[in-house]
Amino acid sequence: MLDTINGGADRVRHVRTHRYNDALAVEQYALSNGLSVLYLRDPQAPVFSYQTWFRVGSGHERPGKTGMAHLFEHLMFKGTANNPEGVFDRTLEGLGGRINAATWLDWTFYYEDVPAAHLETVVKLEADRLENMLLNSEQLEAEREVVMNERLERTDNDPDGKLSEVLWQTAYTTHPYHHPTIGWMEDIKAITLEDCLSFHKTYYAPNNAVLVVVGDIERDRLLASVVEAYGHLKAAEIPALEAPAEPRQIEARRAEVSMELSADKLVVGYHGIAVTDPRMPALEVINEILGEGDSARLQRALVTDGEIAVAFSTFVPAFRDPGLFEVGVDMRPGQRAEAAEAVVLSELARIAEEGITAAELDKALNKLETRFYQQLRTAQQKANGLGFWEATAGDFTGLFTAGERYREVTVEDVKALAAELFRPEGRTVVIGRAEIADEHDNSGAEAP
Amino acid sequence: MWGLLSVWPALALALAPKMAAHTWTTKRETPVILVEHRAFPLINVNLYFRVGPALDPKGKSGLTALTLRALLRGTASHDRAALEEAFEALGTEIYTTPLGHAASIGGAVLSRNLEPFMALLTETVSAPSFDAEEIEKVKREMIAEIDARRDEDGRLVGQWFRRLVFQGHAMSNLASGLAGDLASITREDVVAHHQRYFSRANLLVGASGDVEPARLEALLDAGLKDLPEGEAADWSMAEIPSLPDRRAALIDKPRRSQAQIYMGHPAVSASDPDYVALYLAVTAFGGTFTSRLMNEVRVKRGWSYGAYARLGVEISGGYYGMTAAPDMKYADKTLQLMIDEFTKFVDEGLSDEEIEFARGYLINAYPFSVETPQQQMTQRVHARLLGRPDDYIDTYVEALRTLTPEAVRDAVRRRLDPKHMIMVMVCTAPEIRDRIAALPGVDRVTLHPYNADHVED
Repeated sequence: MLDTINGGADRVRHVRTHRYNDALAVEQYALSNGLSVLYLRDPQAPVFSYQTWFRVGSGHERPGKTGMAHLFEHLMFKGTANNPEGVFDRTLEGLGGRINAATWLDWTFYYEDVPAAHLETVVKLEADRLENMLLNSEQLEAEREVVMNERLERTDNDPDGKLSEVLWQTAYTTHPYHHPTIGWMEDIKAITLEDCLSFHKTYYAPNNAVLVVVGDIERDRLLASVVEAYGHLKAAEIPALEAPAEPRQIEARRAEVSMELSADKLVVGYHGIAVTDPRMPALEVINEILGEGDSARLQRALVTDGEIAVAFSTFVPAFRDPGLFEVGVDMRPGQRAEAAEAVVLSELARIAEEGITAAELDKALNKLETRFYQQLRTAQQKANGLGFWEATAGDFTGLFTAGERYREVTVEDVKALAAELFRPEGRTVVIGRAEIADEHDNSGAEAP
Repeated sequence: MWGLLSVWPALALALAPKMAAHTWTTKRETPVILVEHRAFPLINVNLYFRVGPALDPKGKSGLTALTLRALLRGTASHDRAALEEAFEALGTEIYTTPLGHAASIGGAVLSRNLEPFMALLTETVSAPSFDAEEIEKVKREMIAEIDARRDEDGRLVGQWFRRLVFQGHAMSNLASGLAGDLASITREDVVAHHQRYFSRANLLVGASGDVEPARLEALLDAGLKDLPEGEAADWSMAEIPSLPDRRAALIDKPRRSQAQIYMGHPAVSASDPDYVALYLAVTAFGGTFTSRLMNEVRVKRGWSYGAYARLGVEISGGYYGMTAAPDMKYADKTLQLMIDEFTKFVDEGLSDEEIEFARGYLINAYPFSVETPQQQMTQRVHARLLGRPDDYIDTYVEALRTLTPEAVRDAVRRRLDPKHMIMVMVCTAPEIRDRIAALPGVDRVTLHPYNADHVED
C-alpha cells in the first residue's frame, strides 16, 4: 500500500485500510489540511458516487438562527467566480449525473452520482464551490422562498412532519435537537446574507469535511485529482460544538395538535442512545421485534389483530447524541389515539419486563443480516453508509462491523436496554387530533 | 448484448454492467428473467401476475389488490401467523405490490435460505386458504387506508389526477379501490379472481442475485406445480378519449396553506412508438433539476420547492403530467405560468440545444437504471409486462441516440395538447376559486370535496 502519493507526505497520507471481504476494502487517506478521504473501489457498474460530508447540521445552530445549515445547503448550488449560477447543476446533469444534498441534526452532505469517465470534472466543481462560493442578496431571497415552500410542504401541510416537529420540540428542552432541521419559519425569514457568509467561513473547511468516493475509479487517479483540487485549501479553526446535554427527563410529557385528518395520529418518543453506544445493536433488535415485518408485535397488536390502526412505524435514532426512539401510529377512523397509546405502552413494557425469546432474537438477526446486504447494493448506498459513520461517529468501519455486533446481542441485553429506555417518566406523547372542518362549500358546483 | 454507440464509443462499452441476464421458460412453462450476480449472498425473487386495477370488475374496484394481499393471510398448511413467522425466521419480509399493469409478490432472501423461502412463496400463490375471516379483515384494513391516504396532500392530488384524467375509463381505477366497492367484495369474488388471473397463464418470474438458473428452475417447477392454469388477461382497452377543454378541478380541503397541482392529459402507452421521443422531450422540458419548467417556477421565482413534468408508464393510455406545490398565495400565478410554459413547449418546440442536452443526460444516466442486478431484472420484467420488446433496455440508448430533433418536436406536436387538459389542485377552494376562474388559461372550474368517492363532472 502506498503511504503517500503526488507530492509526498505533506500532501496525502494513507491512514488505514479496512477490509470487510475480498470485494469491500475501504482505504482512508488524509490531506495535510485535514481533509479526510474514504475510497472504495467498486467495479460493479461504470459509475461512482462522490460525496462530501460536513460535520455540521442543525444541531450546531443557536436559537434565533435555526434553519441556517439547511438553507445554506441550498445556497451551495448557486455560483462561484469560476462557475456562475447554473453551471454546476447543468454541467453535472449533462454528464448524466444525479446530484442532491441533505441536512440533518449532525451533518450536511452533498452527492454526485456520475459515470466513471467524469471524475475530474466532479472533483473540480466540488472543490471550487467549497473554496470560491459567491452569494448575493437576490440569490438568498429566491432560495429563502424555496425553503419556506419546502417547510410548508414537509411540515406545515404534512401531518407527520408537523407531529415529528412537535415531538422533538417537546421532548428536548435544552439540547439543540429541540428545533427542527428546516428551522422555525420566523428564523428562516430572518437569516441574513452575513449569517450565510459567516456560516460558510466557519464550517465549510477541509478539516471539517469527509470526501467519500465509491465506484469504478482507480485510486491513484482519484488521489491525484483530489490533491490538485483541494490540497491548497487552508484548514480552519472549527469551533467546538456547544450542545448542552439534555437533562434526564423526570416526568412524562404530552402535547396535542388539532389537525385536518381523517383519524387521529399518535407519536410516542423515548430518549434513546447515541449511535456510538455499544448497545445500539440491541436497540435495533428491539426495533425489529416491535416494528419490522408482518410478524412484529406492534403490527399484530395495532393493525392485523387489534384493528385499531391503519399503519404504524418505528424509528431508531442514529445521531451523535441520544435521539428519540419513536413509535408513530395512524389510527383507523373513529379510533382515538389513546387506544393505540395503551397498546404501545403495554408492548414496550412487555419487552422491558419479560424480554424476548431466543427465537425472536434469531429472527431479528436474520432480518438485520438481509437488511445489511440490501443497504450495500449501489455505489451511492455504500458511500452513504461510509460517510454517515465517519461524519457522525468518527469511524467509517461502523458500517461493516454492524454484523458482528448484532451477533453479540443477547436476550438479556435486549431486556436490560428496554427497561432502561422505556421508563414512563422518560416518555413524550404527541397526539394529532382529527378535526374535520365542514365550514366549506363542498357543493361541487361549477364556478361562473 | 448491449447496444454500441458510434458517438460515444468508449462510453458505450463502459455502459455494460458486469452481470449475466438469463431469460428462459422452464420445463413446466414458467417464463423466467434472472440477472445473476454473486457479490452478496442475497437473492430477490418476485412473482408477477399480469393483472391490475383496470381489470377489476365494475363495482368491485380494489379486487386485485385485495386478492394479492389476501395471499399472505394463510395457506393450506400455514395459518396467517405461522406463515408470517416462517418467512421472517428466514430473514425475509414479503411484499405485495399492486401495480397498474401487474400484481407482484416476493422479497429478498439470504442465499442459504432460498429453498425454504421458495417453498413458502410458491405455496402462498398456489394454495392460499382465503380464510373468510381474514378476507374481511383485509377489507376493513383497505377501507381504513383509503381515508388515511387522503391525509397526505401529495398522494391525494395524484389519486384525483388519475381519476379525472382517465375519467370514465377503466384506467381511472385506483389500485386501492373505493370503499363501497371493497365492502361488496365476497370471498367467492376473491377465489374466482385468483383462479383466473393469479395463474400460470399470467405469470412471469423475476429474480436477481446469488443464484444460477438450474437451482431456481428446480424450485419454481416443484413449487408451482399446483398453480391454477387460469386465463390470459385481456389488456385490449377502449381508446381513452381526449379531454374536452382546459378544466381546473379544485379538490377542496380545509386549512391548506399550500396548494398541490397535478395537471395534464391522456397521452401514450409505454409501448407506443412515440414513447421514447416524448420521454426525451418531457425530460428536456421538465424532467431534471435544470430543465425549463424547474427554472421558471423554482429558480427564477421560488414559487415551489419543485416543478416537474413527467410521462406516465402505463400499459394502456398513459398520460402527460406536470406537478408543483406553491404557497396558496402564488397558486393561481403558478398554474397560469405552467399553462403558459406548456403551451410554449408545444407550440414553439424545444431548441436543438435543449434536445441534445436531454439526450446526453438520459444516455449518460442510463447506467444508474441498470446498476444493480435487481434494477436490471426489474427493467427487463417491466418491459415485457408493458408490452415493450424484450430487448427494450438493450436498445434504449440506441433509440435515444438516433432520434432527430425534428422527430422529437414532431412527436410533441402530435401527442401533447395544452388546450385540452385537466388541472387538478388540492387547495382550500373558497379562498382561490375566483382567482383560478379568472385565469386566461382556464376554461372552467369544478369543485370536488377531497373525500368524495364519486366524481361529478
